[in-house]
Amino acid sequence: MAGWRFKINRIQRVLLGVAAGLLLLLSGAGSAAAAGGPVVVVLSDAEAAYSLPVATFRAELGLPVQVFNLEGDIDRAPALMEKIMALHPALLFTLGAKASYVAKVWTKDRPELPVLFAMVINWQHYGLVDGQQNIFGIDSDVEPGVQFAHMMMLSPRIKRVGVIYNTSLSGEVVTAARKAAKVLGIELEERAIRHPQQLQRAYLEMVDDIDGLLILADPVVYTLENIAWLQKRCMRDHLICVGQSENVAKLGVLMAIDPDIPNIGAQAAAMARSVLSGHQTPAAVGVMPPLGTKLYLNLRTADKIGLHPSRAAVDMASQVFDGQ
Amino acid sequence: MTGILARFRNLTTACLVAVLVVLVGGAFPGRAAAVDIYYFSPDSPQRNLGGLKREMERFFGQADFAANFQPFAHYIDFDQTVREKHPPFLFLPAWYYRLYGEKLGLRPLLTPLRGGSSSYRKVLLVRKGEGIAMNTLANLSMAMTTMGPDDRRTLNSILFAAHGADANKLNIVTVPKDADALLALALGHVDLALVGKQSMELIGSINPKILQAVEPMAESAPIPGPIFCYVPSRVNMEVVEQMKQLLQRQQHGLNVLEILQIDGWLAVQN
Repeated sequence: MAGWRFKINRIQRVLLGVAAGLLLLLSGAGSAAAAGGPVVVVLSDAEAAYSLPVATFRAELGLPVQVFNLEGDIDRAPALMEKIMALHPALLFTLGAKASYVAKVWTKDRPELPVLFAMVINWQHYGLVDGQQNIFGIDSDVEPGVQFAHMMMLSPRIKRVGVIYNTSLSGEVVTAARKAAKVLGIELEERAIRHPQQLQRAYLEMVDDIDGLLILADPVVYTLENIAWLQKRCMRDHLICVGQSENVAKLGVLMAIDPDIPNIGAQAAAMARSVLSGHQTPAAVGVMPPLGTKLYLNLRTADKIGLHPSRAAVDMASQVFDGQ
Repeated sequence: MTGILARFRNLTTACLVAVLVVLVGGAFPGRAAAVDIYYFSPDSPQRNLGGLKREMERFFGQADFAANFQPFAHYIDFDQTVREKHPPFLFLPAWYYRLYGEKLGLRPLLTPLRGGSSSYRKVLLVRKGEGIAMNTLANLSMAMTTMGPDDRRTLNSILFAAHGADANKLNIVTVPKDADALLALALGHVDLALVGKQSMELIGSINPKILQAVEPMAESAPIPGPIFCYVPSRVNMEVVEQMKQLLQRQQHGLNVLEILQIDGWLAVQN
């Protein structure tokens, strides 16, 4: 009997072993399926601006990619995300605020699924990376160091650059600006403001001590009234001013630097590869500035402030506003 | 009733406009349709593509040659448009010609010279003091302008294989211009940058501070420069010859060499 029991136990053990093996195999197959699933692109809506970044992402990534569209309707999210999750995606690349926020919510209990966001203006406002380790992204603002470097290319006389900002909205940008200023050997003159109405006073306080001004895309600084005022003052005070967006340069600010939108797809592909290969975690990658940039230069303003940039410097601009 | 009359009036106006267009077109029978010239040169220091288009069209206009000069900033955009529109003339990187020249029926016409040479070199840069060596490149990120879909193979042949390294182990971030790659490196966003030697020297001459933060690690073998091609099935040889002479002709006023930032052309023998 004991032998039988022993025999039964042996069979049970063998069966248990086989079952465990099968379970391991199945779980292995499951994770392989998850890892082997497509990379899914989720668009917030049918914005034409997304088409080139998506095409570039697809071409540069070299892995199967499927594209889904939220069509601007957050109510579509549950059905769409169910469909996406059924594919066991290897990574989500989200474009725009709605898609990125939906992906954040839907991966709250799926820490193994990386989410890479891009083209989200003021991403900090949505708390996209707060409380989750699976989210990384590309900032919608150009790195301040790139703006300083272009200021220096236009005018070697740049030594001190002013920046006016709101601490709660642009604290991180100003930290990056301090770091970049150190690398490039320039001094940063900072003024923090709480309300848009405080900008003029902050500017006047430092204007005599600076050669240039970094105009941040900070909602407290960046009002129509403030930009119009700054544009006139920068010209009057012969300051090298740099802002963000083509319109700012078109309106008369000396130069502006924007992210190169189609290139966001190429950068996202490189970041996605780094995470998918297991070389870096999403949290370690964090939120990177856009590396591809477009420089807009207003030569009429340059002329008015007595600046005569070299032909080589002008040719580096993606677009020049010169009245022609 | 009023609606029908209004529609009729609109139709009449449209017909009159069409007739006028035909008549005006007929009055200038010698005027040929503008010839498309597509331009994609990611390693050129000239990034002001709007200005480039304006100046090139003015140059062709002065020679009474109707041309639509279309520069492209991004590879995807260029490649898609070339395949859709089949332009008769193209100025493109040598790697594009190597990959797709035969399939697209491209025939080289001229190759530009810079510094007297039809090839150029790229320099592999690192941040100063990072302690990166050619045998520790695995998994590092490298920013560079596009070298096409098989960039890793190209990179191995022009640089990495000679140093016992493998570009397949790098994480490549494509950027639109050399200045972006250089700044991404200097500001600590990538580990390496591969930039054109000429661009590096140019950027260094206008902002020496940037070059002080980086140091060269290796230099590539000569890379063939861009090629000006034509498509025989899309244009007759008379126009090809006209284009060739026009580009090679030194003329007063607008100088095509200056516009394209080159110092001469080398005719390609087919």
